[in-house]
Amino acid sequence: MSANKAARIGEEVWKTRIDKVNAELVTLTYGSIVAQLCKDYEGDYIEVNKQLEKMGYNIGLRLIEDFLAKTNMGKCINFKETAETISKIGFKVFLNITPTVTNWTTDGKQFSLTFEENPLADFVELPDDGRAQNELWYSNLLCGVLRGSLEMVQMQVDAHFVSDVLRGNEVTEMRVTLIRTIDDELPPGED
Amino acid sequence: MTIYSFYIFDRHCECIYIKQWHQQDKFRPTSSAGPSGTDSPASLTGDGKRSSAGSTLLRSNDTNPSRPGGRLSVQDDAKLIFGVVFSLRNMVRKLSGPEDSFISYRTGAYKLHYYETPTNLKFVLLTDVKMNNLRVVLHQIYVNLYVEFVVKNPLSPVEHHGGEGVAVELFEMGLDGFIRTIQD
Amino acid sequence: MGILSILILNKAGGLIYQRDFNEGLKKLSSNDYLVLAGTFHGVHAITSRISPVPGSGGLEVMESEHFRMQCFQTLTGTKFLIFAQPHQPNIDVIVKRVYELYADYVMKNPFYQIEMPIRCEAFDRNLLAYIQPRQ
Repeated sequence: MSANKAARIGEEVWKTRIDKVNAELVTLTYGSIVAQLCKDYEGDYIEVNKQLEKMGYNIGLRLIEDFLAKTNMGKCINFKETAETISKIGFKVFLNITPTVTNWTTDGKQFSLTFEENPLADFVELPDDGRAQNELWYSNLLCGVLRGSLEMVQMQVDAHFVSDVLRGNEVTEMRVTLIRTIDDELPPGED
Repeated sequence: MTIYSFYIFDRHCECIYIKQWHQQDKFRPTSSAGPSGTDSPASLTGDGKRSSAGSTLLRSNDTNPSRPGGRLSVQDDAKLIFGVVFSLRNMVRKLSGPEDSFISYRTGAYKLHYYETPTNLKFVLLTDVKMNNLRVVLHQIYVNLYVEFVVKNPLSPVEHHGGEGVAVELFEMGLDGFIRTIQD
Repeated sequence: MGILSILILNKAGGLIYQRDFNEGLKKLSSNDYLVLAGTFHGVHAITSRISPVPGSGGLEVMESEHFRMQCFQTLTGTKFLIFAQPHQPNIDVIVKRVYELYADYVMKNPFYQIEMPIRCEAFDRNLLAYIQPRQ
């Protein structure tokens, strides 16, 4: 499906089929989750990243069904179509943003999502303890969401942030890699 | 226009939900499922928990010695149905490519309708032969009932081993109501 | 006529005839067709067992998005599988005619071994003439 068609679908679903909620509520709720995790793990930001990814993964496992139900999408033909669907329809429907798909590798198995805006990180400043700037990926929940939801549609992917404006980088960029396509499960006893 | 039964199978080839209507109990001397001998109307989840549904009686431990090699238990039925739809769905894909999908089949006595989501969740409906294509109905059940009441229920698990977390009251009530409107 | 292909299975589910008439289905190896036939034979038997209503025969019609398959099982256990385009009318008539051709050019051929793969040139010829002239 072309990028234009995906954008149209995303816009239409966002306008007509989605209940909206106050953005500040989302930002504050997410912020308090991250802050509490940092406190609970006493500044072990690597562990906080892991927990955020895990939470995202659990969200993604369920979110995919809602996504499919609201958008009536069928299976994507290839990974490029998956990327367009994620950026123009997925993120649009759930966060009303459309990150750009960039930096494809030649084998078509890796791409980047560049976020111009990130509602989760509005008004956020990372703590000044010298470590958060280098270790914490604030929006790591999103990586887990992608991993969980794509796993449910037979794709094993790795998603991680490579840069974040909260850390002082120029852009917020997430790198997504297709590791393998998961085969159908066979009933027990059949190989 | 009669609807006989409804099944959901998850991506691990397991039956996670069964609902039956219009069963004549002399054809179903079940050996599976739940508590013995009670007369409550029943619909079965994969783990045999009962919930009231207004469908006809399903007596367990019903001895019927005049029926040698008698009818199948509900669980075995579900396994066979899964085998059938799984094989037919693979056959269609083999013959016609991965974009094609199996929709329904009909025998002399009943019709089976099938719908599979991209997350490999499989919905199956058995009806009489006069029913038209009910794939849209199955899609509606997925979108309006399953996603709303099962997936979005934070207290129900993501994997539904033995049907755990699927037969929630809202889903059952919604399903019952929805099926009734179709039959009328 | 929108007939895509025809398969004939013997009593035991072995494939004894396979022919494509129109584009629409993928071209598979002969081994693939054999496996398909065997699988379908099993599935057909189960479809009568899982019937919610007693006295059901096996599967007669199967629909997918891109084709429609009709299965005609004779009283002798032979199955004719006709694959056609989804809105092909009068498949029943076509099935009947194919059965007649089979009865004539296969069964009445004394050198044809029953239950074995069909290699009767007359059957092929007449079948082709029936299915394809109106394209």
